[in-house]
Amino acid sequence: MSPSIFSRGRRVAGVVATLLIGVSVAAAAVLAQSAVDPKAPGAIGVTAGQVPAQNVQAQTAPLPKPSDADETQALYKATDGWFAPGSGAFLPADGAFDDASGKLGVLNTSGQIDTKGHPFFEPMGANGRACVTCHQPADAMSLSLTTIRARWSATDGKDPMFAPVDGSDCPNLPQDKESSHSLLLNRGLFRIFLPWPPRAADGTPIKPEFTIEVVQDPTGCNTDPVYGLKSANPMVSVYRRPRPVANMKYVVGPDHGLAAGQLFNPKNIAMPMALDPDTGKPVTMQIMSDARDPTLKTQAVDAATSHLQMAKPPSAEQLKRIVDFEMQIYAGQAVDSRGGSLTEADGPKALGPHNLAASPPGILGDNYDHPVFYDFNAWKTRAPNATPTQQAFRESVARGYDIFFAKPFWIRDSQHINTVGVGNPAKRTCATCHNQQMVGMDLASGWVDLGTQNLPWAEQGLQSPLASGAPQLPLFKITCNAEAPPHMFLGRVIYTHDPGRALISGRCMDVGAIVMQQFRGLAARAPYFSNGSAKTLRELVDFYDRRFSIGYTDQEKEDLINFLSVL
Amino acid sequence: MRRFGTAIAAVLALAATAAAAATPPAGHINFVACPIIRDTKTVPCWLSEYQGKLYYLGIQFDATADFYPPYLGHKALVEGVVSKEPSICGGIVLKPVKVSVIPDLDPSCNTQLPAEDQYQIKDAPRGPGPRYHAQAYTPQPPPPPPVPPFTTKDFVVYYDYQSELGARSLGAMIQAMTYAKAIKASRVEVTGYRASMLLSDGSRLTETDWIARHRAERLANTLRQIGVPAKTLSATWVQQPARGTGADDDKLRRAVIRVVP
Repeated sequence: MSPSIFSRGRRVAGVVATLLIGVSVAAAAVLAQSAVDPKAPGAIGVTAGQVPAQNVQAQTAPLPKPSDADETQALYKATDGWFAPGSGAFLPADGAFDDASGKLGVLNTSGQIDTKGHPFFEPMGANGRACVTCHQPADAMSLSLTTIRARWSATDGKDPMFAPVDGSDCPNLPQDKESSHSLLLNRGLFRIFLPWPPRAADGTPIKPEFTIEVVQDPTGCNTDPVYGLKSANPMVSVYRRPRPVANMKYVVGPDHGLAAGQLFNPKNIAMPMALDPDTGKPVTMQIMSDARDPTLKTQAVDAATSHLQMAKPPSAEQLKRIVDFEMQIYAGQAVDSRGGSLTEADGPKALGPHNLAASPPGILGDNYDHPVFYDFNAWKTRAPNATPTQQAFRESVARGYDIFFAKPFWIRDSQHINTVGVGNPAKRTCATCHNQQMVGMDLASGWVDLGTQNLPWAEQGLQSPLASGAPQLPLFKITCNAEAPPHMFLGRVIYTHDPGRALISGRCMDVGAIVMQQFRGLAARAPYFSNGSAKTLRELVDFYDRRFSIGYTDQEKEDLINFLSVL
Repeated sequence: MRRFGTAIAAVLALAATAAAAATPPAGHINFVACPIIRDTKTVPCWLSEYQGKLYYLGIQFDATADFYPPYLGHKALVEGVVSKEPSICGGIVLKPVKVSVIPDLDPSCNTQLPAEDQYQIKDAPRGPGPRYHAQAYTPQPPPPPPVPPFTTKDFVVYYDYQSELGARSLGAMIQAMTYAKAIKASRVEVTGYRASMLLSDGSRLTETDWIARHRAERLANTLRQIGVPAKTLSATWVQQPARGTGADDDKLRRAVIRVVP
């Protein structure tokens, strides 16, 4: 199909914003904000720069057989808690869904929703999927591996979730074989195909600072003549988890942007923030693993035209309804099977979806005035009616929060963390980076290289217990040019499973850098990290313990896991 | 955007000079060496050893600090003045001091010393854990808008060794952008420079020949991105490195933004 279907909106200029730069040399000032830079990553109108090229591949990929989708519809109601596209089910205002450690609470602040005809719930594209396919209420508006496997079993792999375009390891594989969907079925990963070289907001190529070679291609997609890096429409395929579409005011800011008009990305300080193409305001750059879409609206277009295989972007009215819905959904654990209700009136103030809806976003929580998750003091002393099991669990959670908030360790060799003025290594705590109150995302927006994607720390590195076994993910060799600012801790030759933000920015220093996620609803949406490399919260904690040589005791690990599980 | 200049391929030059070469003025000490981190009961302090003496550089703080700690895994360029203050963390205090990370990886820079009771950082503005108060940054009030008659103004952006842009660059850049937009500047001319620093052993550390161009182009491009009209912008660079005397050589690593009414 032709990219020309994507309209380009007018440039926005002259919007006044307030500058707030957190460095000693800068002052707050009132500035006239510039228009979207068409030659930098971002979006013009409703369309981000990578979308037209992506849509070409999405329209090339085969669709599920029509009869399959029909058959699948009949099976939709067979799975508890599953919201099928187009099913017309009601989403309650205040729902509770069973998950691995109790019940997840999902609050819709606008009240019960009739999903019939709602664009978030209707299959708008050609493959039978809807937004809800990968953003299920019972899975904290993400998609758990448990649900994915249940859908495979319930539909014999015919659910549109497993559509060839990205629900299989590659569209060129035989779609009726389970092995063709191995990354989705084993790690909860969908294929994300991004144009190479990267695209600016206006769709033109950005000259990258590095070359990319495919070293290992277990899915075959990066070397495929139709879908690969050397195809007529060159694409890099990486594999990522769907992020939760809940608690979004904490992700995009209270007004869909930065209230303070922050001009520069604090993690990558020489880079101006992306702008909302509608308002000209700087955006938080916290959406998706690589911040490739500046707003929820452009993200919806991106997702609809790639994951849903829509030929054209959704209408303005559909986009508005999708974004409105996403901004009114809150998800947080509500009941723990050992700890009981997490939402008692005199309990911890951070827990449950109602507290998420009531608390303000954008609060820096790495301090004792506004701690990240308030406090768990109510659980540190024995409650009169608590059972021994309940009390023990709650005390463990409280200890876990104290470890998260206040136990220092050495953060080392992490691009966009150690490089922002704290030195390498830096003696800090989990809350240093996971600092936004209520959600634990970094309030300083941007992406970091934690080591989940880049060797040697990623799974096939020598340090990982997952190093053995057949390769699952692609492996790329990145060679940066001599004049590019390097990745400060990996240099100019980097091996990575997913170049992350670098696939958008083209910058060497961004290789393997991933936007931090929120902490809420974790029990409902395993596995973790953008590449699903931690199957459990224990594996997540173990990764940090190994990565930063923290030396947690088993008790500390259990306390941290319990703490994370109640969020 | 109009660009001119001559690019000549070169590599980082640490050129030894003749035996009779000049050295920095008394009290100034400039060297390239591995940084050393020493833990304390509170925040770590940063040191570096040169010619058998240990120098104190600063402590870990955060992005609001004047001192940004260097990185293990890299050498650092240290440019400082020996002060008479009592030693800190066992190191001779350099004040003022400028520390730049050498971009090339150097795994031999890996010395991390444990805390010892004799070394204490008692007045750290921030410990290793959460702050005791919420405000991480203290925004300054906006400057008053410029009033006529408007004049040509220069805004100087300083850089760490071999860097294109950093946190310390933003203030002058934003001031220049604010002024240019307020007065509707007819021209905004960016000129990039590179420097050759005189080290204490008489040798020179010279920035690569392309860094002046990178500084000018990146700065001009960033000014455009934050609202300076492209038609007013030009980027030039000076190929010849500015030769330092060993005192304040860091001020030679710069770009100048000239805003013309």
